[in-house]
Amino acid sequence: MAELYAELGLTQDEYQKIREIQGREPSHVELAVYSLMWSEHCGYKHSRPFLKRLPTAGERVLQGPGENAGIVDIGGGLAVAMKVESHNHPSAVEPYQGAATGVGGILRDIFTMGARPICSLDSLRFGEIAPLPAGRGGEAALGGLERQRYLFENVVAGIGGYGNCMGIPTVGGEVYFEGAYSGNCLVNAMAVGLVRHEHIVRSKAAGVGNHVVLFGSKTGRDGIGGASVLASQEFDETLEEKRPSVQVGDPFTEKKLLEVSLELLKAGKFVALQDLGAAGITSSSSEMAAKGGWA
Amino acid sequence: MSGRVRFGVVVFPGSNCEYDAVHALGTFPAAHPYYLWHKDHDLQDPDVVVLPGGFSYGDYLRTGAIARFSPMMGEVAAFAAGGGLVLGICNGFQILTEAHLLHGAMLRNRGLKFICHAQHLRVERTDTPFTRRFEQGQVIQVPVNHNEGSWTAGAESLQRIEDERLVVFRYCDAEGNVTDAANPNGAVDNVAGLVHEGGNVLGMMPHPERVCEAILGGTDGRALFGSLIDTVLERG
Repeated sequence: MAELYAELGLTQDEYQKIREIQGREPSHVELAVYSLMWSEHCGYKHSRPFLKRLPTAGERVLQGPGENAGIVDIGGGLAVAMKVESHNHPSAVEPYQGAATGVGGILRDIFTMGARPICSLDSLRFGEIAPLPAGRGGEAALGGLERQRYLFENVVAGIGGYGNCMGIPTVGGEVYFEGAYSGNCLVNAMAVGLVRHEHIVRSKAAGVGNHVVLFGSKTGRDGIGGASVLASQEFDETLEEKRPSVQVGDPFTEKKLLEVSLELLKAGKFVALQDLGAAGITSSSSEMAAKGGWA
Repeated sequence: MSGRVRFGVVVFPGSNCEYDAVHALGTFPAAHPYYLWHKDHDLQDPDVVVLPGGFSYGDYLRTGAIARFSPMMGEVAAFAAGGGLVLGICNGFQILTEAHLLHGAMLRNRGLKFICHAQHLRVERTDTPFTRRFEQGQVIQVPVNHNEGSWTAGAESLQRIEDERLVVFRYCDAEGNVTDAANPNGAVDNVAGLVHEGGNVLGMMPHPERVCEAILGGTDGRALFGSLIDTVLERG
């Protein structure tokens, strides 16, 4: 087990904690579940203290944190669903697919609330892509200016390409280039959707006899360990070897998923709906059941 | 939605401009837009068939290459052969070239980049059912939004297109000059849209359905749908 927890991206402290909780040696599967649920990607273990400082309540807030996306009332029986998410590490390893699947993820977060996505935005940070005057350090960027240009071009192409195929325009964004980001670009994408109040659906699943249905893209060999191995580790010279842990996007399947989800929703077929996310069935099933009072 | 000119908008899996098309047509009291499903065989007695923009079947092989074989496209081809009015926008244009209902084929944009901006077009013909409300040589502004819009054709087709005056819209600058600098995607002879020999099938890369309301940035697309409505109503 000693080697396994490290391979799954868990620290020794976390491994000890798991042994305490279980009261025994965890099995391989249990360890894998912990590694996903405690990953930075799923658990926000490092950023949670900062996120907690943000305001989340208000008379127009129909849905605060804890669901696939937040929802704010805009009057007239309508509301907007909003989601922002980073895809920094996948984008640093494989910029096109990393950025594209970041957009795919937040679009799913929007339509799993019952909203139709109407636009997306982005906020990007890279190292310098052009030489700076001597002494300012632009040339020292990780992998050089070429690497930063490669990341920039492909991140932008990934965001635009995925959105275009889904039919959802990228309506705005911002980008800064600064040496401090050369070792770790920041790729934040935001999606906005429109929903009638009565069509809002949540992930709280309860009720005996309900069917659990898993639908969407096929699970491939790509993206395995994306949440744990990739999102929670520092980068080093093995960057290139991590490329297979970045998921390859399939916007066509997601477009069909969007339409079928909203159609089934309209027909009143869902008790609850939850996006699979990077941790797959592990996180979605446990989160849905926990919210439904089965924890 | 209660007009008498029937516009059937074909929905393929991956189409994503069908709502825009139906919405734009809905602003014309004379129009009755409705959706058609790609797997069906019944066009439901249309006056005009619209193939909307998007990524039919994901366009992973070649744009429009799969959509061409859908059951509904067989009906569209028969409808076109009988003189029926067919409008293909963006992905719809790509499908029409793949289906050989229009001359030419699509390449990736010159520069290999996705483009998305307001584009000037020069109206080359006003004697088609699609353009009679325009003026000859009129410069209009319509958005382009594509990655594979560089239209091209073989020498024989190009000669035929020239002889029969099949080009309806060309990319141009604000003054109407058809220049290489005004060509956003490298299309041969700046072709943005063309008809086939019968004049009843039009394909165009720009999106006229997105410029039918001032609040959305322009109204230059209205003359195109208006022309179709005039044509159909005149036929009685």
